[in-house]
Amino acid sequence: MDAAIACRGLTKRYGSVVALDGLDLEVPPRVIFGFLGPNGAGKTTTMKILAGLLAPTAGVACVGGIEVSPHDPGSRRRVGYLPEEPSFYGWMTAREYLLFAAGLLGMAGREAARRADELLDLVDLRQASGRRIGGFSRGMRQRLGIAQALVGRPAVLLLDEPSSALDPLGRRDVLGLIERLAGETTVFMSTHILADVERLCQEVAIVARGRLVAQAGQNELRHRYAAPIFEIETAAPAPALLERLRGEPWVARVDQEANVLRITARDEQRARRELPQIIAALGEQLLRYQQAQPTLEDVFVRLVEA
Amino acid sequence: MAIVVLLRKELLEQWRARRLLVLGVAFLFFGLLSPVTAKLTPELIKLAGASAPGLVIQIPPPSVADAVAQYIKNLSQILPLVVLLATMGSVAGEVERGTLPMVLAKPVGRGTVLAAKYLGLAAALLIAQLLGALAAYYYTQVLFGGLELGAFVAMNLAAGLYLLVILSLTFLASTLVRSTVAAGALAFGFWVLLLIVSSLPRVGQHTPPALLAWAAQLGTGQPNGSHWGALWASVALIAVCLIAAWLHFRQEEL
Repeated sequence: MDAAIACRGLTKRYGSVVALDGLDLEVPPRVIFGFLGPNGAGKTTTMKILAGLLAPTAGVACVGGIEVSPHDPGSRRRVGYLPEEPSFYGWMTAREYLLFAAGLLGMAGREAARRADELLDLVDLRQASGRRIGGFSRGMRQRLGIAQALVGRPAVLLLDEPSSALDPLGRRDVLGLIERLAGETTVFMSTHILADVERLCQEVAIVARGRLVAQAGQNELRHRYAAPIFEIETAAPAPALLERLRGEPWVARVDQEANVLRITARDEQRARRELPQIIAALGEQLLRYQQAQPTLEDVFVRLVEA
Repeated sequence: MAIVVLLRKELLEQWRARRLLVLGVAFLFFGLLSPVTAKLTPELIKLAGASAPGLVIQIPPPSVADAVAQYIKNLSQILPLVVLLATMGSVAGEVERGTLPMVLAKPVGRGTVLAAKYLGLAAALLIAQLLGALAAYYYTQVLFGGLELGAFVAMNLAAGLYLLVILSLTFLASTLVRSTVAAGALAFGFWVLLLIVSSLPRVGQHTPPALLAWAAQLGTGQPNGSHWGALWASVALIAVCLIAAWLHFRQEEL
């Protein structure tokens, strides 16, 4: 089966600034795909190229096997796009905007009205459908943004940081909505909120400095890239232990939070052997010692900092 | 058809954002004011003269030609500025507010989006000028009489073409820059440049502002010489503005 999204050698330069540097990426169909990266990594640029708003300097971006281009309107038929900060015509009502979007996709009359109403129900805006968008909260606008992107039943839904600017309730609603889309369409979601990715995404790609750093399923990514991590909790702060560990060659980094030390090891075997000995030698009162499950954040930090 | 959907949106926006209202009221106001000003100006001057003993002011009685001259003056000075201010944000305003990406991510061409915008603005201008012209015609007939309808229509067509030139220059400016204020400043610059070129000897009579002199002659039923050069120059300038706007907008990175 064709990849839902395929980017090959995707490059975008703005003068001397390289936003994308030969990005290669393949997204399988009907998954919720997390597109991760620090600010300035090229996520939004990739999104805009896939949405047909920007032309790449080099390389190709395909959706459903068709190359997307700003100069070929037909190539955008299979794509739904929600920008990072969706802006609407504030003088329109939510229903009018969806009918407008449906009209641009060639729907009219009852078909457009039925689709608008379906989507208003889906995003829980039926009650507010007759209100002007200018008075909507940020969360409502985000949900309407998802609805307008879904009007044409796109094969690929591009969501650029869909939950970044929302309060906890707005975020809960939007994430719940994205969860409900699983299996219906391919959701390609850029974000830097790793908790959202852990909750929603089956597969993840990490980009840094305009290049793909890693791509895999969430669990595979953790196993493949996470360094072993050990957590130690002591009865009182242990500055001597902290200093000693930071000097050990098998320790990559130590993070301290109150009485808990989180040790990222370079050599798992040595860590298992030597860590208990060091704690005992320094006479620290140990409350907890465990080898922790690496989180997506551990993988992210390690890959992006590399 | 995407252009019909977009044009409907443009017209609805003109209505709800009160742009049509502003244009309509401005044209209506100056349409009414022109014959009234022509009629009352001599009276006002006489009143001013009365306060200075010994000063005798002799003014010929106002005629329909004065009403037409006043109407053309408003169409050439104040109303182009109103058109500029009302339309300068047509594209730049949308870029500024960020409303275009979700529209352009749909399967519609950028040329279609621009065409709908321009047609919407031209329609608003047409409606506004029609209102102003009707008001001016009616009051001129009431106050002076003797205004020939055919001549008045011809005059409005010539003046309307000039306003369409101003609209096209503003539209181009709005496409070239990313803020409404900058678009307004650039459009004003284009207008001033046009007026400077029109004041040059020999060249001036073949520029769009010469349409206004022609319009005045048509309105009084005294055409004096051929102004086809100005007409074709206006049509060409409108075409250049629209093509340049499209060439720039199709490459615009949003």
